[in-house]
This record gives sequence, C-alpha cells and structure tokens, in this order.
Amino acid sequence: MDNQTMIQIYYKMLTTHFFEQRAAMLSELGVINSPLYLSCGSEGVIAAMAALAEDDVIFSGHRNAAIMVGCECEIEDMFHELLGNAHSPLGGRSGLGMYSDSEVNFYGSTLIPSSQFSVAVGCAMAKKLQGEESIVICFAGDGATCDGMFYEALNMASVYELPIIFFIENNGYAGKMKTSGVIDTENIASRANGFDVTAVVVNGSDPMEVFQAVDAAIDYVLDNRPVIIEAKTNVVYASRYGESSEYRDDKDIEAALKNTPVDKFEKYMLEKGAITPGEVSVLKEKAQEKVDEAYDRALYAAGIEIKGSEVV
Amino acid sequence: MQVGYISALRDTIKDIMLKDRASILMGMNISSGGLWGESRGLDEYVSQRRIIDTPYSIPSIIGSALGLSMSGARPIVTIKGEYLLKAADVIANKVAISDYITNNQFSSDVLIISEIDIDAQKGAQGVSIYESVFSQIHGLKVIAVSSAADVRRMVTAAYDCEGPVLVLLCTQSMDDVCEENTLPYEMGSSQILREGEDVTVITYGPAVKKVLMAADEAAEMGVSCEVIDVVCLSDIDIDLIEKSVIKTAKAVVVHDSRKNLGIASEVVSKIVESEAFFYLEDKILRVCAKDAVVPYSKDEFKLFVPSKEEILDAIVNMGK
Repeated sequence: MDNQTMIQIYYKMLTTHFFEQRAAMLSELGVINSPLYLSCGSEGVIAAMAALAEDDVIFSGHRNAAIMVGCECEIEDMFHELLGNAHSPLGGRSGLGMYSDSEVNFYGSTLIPSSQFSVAVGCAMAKKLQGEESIVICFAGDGATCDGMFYEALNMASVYELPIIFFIENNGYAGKMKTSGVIDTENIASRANGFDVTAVVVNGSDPMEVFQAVDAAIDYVLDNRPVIIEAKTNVVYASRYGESSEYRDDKDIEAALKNTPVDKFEKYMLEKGAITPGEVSVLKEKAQEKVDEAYDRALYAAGIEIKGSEVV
Repeated sequence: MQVGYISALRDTIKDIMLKDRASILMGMNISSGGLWGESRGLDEYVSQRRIIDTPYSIPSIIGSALGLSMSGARPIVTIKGEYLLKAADVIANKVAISDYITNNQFSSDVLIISEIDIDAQKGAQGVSIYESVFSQIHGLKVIAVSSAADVRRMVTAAYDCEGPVLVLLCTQSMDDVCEENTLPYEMGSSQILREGEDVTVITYGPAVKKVLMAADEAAEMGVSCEVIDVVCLSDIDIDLIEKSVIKTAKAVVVHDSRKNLGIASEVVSKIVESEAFFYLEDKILRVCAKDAVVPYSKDEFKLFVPSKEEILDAIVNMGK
C-alpha cells in the first residue's frame, strides 16, 4: 500500500472517530432518540473501501459509520439523517441506521441484521446479467450470520456464481451476548465450507490486512466466485451506545479504548515513516474541523443550539 | 376473444419480457413451466439468462429481486401462495419501504405474482388467505385478479406502475376461460361487474364467482344487485363503492378469507366514514370465512367459507 492510500485510510478512521464522538454526545444530551451502533473498534474495515473500484457496490448492516465514511458519504448528510432533518438529501427519512447514498454506490444500511444479504445478492445477479466488471461487497456483523438468510445468500451466490464478497465483522459480541455462546465455531469463515465459497480470516483492526484481503479477493470475485472475509474486530463501547455494558469486563473496555485501531495504525505509520508527527497533528485537526463544520450546519438546520454540554 | 386464466398470464409475461429486455422472471420451477404453467415455452422467446430458477429461499428471492431492481433490472417473481408469509418480513422491511427510506434514490419496481388459494383438502398450511396482512404493508400495492378476463390488463398495469406490487391470482379460477376485457386497468381502481339497483355487493378474488351466481338467483327473486370487485386491496377505491351504496342504500361485503380484521372490515369502515353512511337503510353485513383454522375435510370446509346460499340469504334479506 502506498503512503497516500495509508494516509487516506488513516484520515477516514479519524473522521469516523470524530463523527461518532459527536453522535454519542447528541445521544447523551437526548437530542437524538435513535439507537447508536458505533464503529469504534472496527474502523479498520475502512481499508476495504480503499481496495474497491468506482462501480463496486457496498451494502452494510447497522454498525455502519466507518463503512459510510469509507465510501465517502457526506458527513453533513450523515448528521442530517441522525437528526432527522427534513431539508436534506435523504429528507430525514432513513436515520443513520438505514442510510444510503447512490452517489457513492452505497446501496444502504439496515437495522435488521441479515436483511442486507439477499438484496446484495440481487445486485450481484444484476451485475453478472448486465456483464459488468464490478463487484458487490456486503458488510454484516457476526450475529447476522445466525439468520437463515445468510445461508440462503451464500447458497444463491454459490449456485449462481456471483461477484460478491460477504464481509463479516466479528467483534465477539452478538448484541449483549458473547458470540462464542451463540455461534459454535471459532471462525465464521468456516461457514463457507458447505458452499462453493472461499473464505479468509483477517485481523479487522489492521487496515493493512483488511486492504490486502479485499484487494486479493477482487480478481477472484470478478471471476464470479463469491468470497467470505471474516474480520476479527473489537467493539469498544457497548454494542448499542448508552446501554449498560455490565455484560463486559471494564478492563476490556479500558484496554480497547487505549488501543483502538486508529491509534494502532497511527503508531504503525509513524514507525514505518509513512507519516510524520507533524502530519498526524495536521490530519487530526483537519478531520476534527471537517466533522465539526458538518455538525454545526446540521444542528443549525435542525434549529438546535448546544452550548458546552447543554441544549440551549 | 376467449382466454384461459393461465394462458393469459403466460402470454402477458411473454409480451412483457419481449418488450422490456430489463425484465427477469424468477421463482421456483420457472425453467420447467413455472408454478402454474406461466413460463411454459417461454425459453423459445426469451433468453434463458432472464428465466431464473430459484432455490426454496423465499425471503431471499424477494430480497434479491429488490437488489435487481435497484440495479436497473425489472424482476417478476412468482411465489406459491402457501409460502407467501415467509416473504412478509422482507416485503415489509425492505421492498415496500425502499422508496421512502432512500428518498427515491433507487428503484423498487418488484412485481410479485402469488395467489389466493382457498379450497377443501388443502389443509391449514396449504391455503393462502393472508391478503389482508399484505394489504397492511404501506408502500406495497396488492391486487386480486378474480377472473381470466382481467389477467392481462391487471398484470400489465402492475408491471407498468412504479414501486412494488403483489398480484394475487385466484387458484380456484385458474381453469376458467372467458371473454377477455381489453380495456386498460387503472392501477388502484375497483370495478363494477354487474349493475343493479337494490343491493351493493362488494367482493374480490375467489368469492367473485359465487357472488355473481348469487346475484343471478337474487335477480330471479326480484332483487337487483350491483356487484363491485374491489381489485386493489391495499388502498380500497371507495369512490365507486360510495356512489353505488348511495344508490342502493344497502351493502353486503363478501370474501373467502377470515372475517376478523379481513378486507371486509376496511370496506365497511370506509363506507361508514363516507357520505354513503347517511343513505344506508340497513346494517352492513359481512359474509366471510369463519374465524377458525382452515379445515381439511370437505364437509367442514363447506361450513368454513361462505356458500352461495349464505350470500344469497344476506342479499335478499337486506332491508327487511
């Protein structure tokens, strides 16, 4: 991966963090009522988008901020939807959880885990029928793979030989349950065994690994052979932001917060000399500024003023 | 021109697919004639790539049809009536809301062809009488095609209109042959099947034949019925019904599906909410299937769905 791509991925990871910090604040202040499923801990998956071409199509589940930032959805529009602003491109109709943006081929998120698989399969069917040289990548969480529609999708992708990547983010928790308590396999990737589907397992916290896995899968997938990429990730906050995290060890949360994928990637880039400490500061400032401007405009559109930590 | 119910369906699908190369026919058994014979011989006219056999994965068939539509294709999906409820989640939570939640960024032109299937010895799992469930799903249009005469005009209108449509065929009419109605069907409209002066009988789908027979007999007894086929169940065209009830001052609503929260409940509510309410000379009657599990046995089934006699009885006793 060249330095430029690394810096882009790093910048998007930062943007996701700052976006989610603002979103979490809005949630804490009670400005928004919508449940928040933060990407923090799984922002390494942003690197997947860096490997895609312009015509490739992206689907996502509910933990979608990193994916949307990766797709280059407009941050301001994401805030508009979070706030339900009627005068915005999506009209405040989807919220963040069902967000879509045809401009960047982001065909949509879903609040119902696993309901994205079959739609993504249909999109891949169309690509094959229309003879397009592009692929579909469908993100989902580990919990979604417990639904029958995951297996229906794998079967259809396999029997129709479709150009699709099922990108499973395994963060170790399905809702408040440990994944190991509800899924009896170490690697969800092994679910591919019953189908004519290839699978790989990667460290989803490492953007380099994620990028390489997707990049390597693309040529294969373009040959109409579906692939599962299982990315082992973390969930830093509670599965649903604001809900009790009593089901998790405080030490785990603290440790995860101190060592998020973006922190690790920053360290890696600095050690590798791909970026200078000065550039890190500039990028952080730039990302924060971009998010804050979008945030301010969306709040203004909603007629909401926040001073300090209070809604005026 | 005389047409058979299924041959009209087959010809309509063929014509749609010849005209629109974006169209795709998908469902179980499609390459071997389809569920009802709707795709028999189609591969002589249309590329096999557009005639897709699907696995028994009902929710995913519907979901993939949405994905196809979002990508510029025009899917026509066939689903056996008894499996239709398996599709309800994806229809309600994906297909029917797609236009709204994406603010019309993507197309959701999915045509689903299924059936209302209600007969003896099919058993509780073998029938399909959940049209009121699907009619509750906002964003989905539901139409019931009661006669071979209407198959071409209604399926064509359903294909041509924007957004998802569920076309419900009537299994018990599939062997029928009759004169084809060549007038275009306006999506959402109801239709008068028989004009009359004394009682308005509102019905749809599989009950239509019985109602028309009962109306014939009522005429012999000196009661003139106006029979209205609701057709579009998801958004009942009350205007025609209202006008008719204002004229006759009496209304009977008939269907072969269960009474509790059935389509008749909505028809009655709409009449009560309309001007026609002030003209009513008697209470409105619903003659529907019993609120019970659909029986298997022929004898019990006779008691389950309304008979022609029950319908006739309701009609001739109106206003007395």
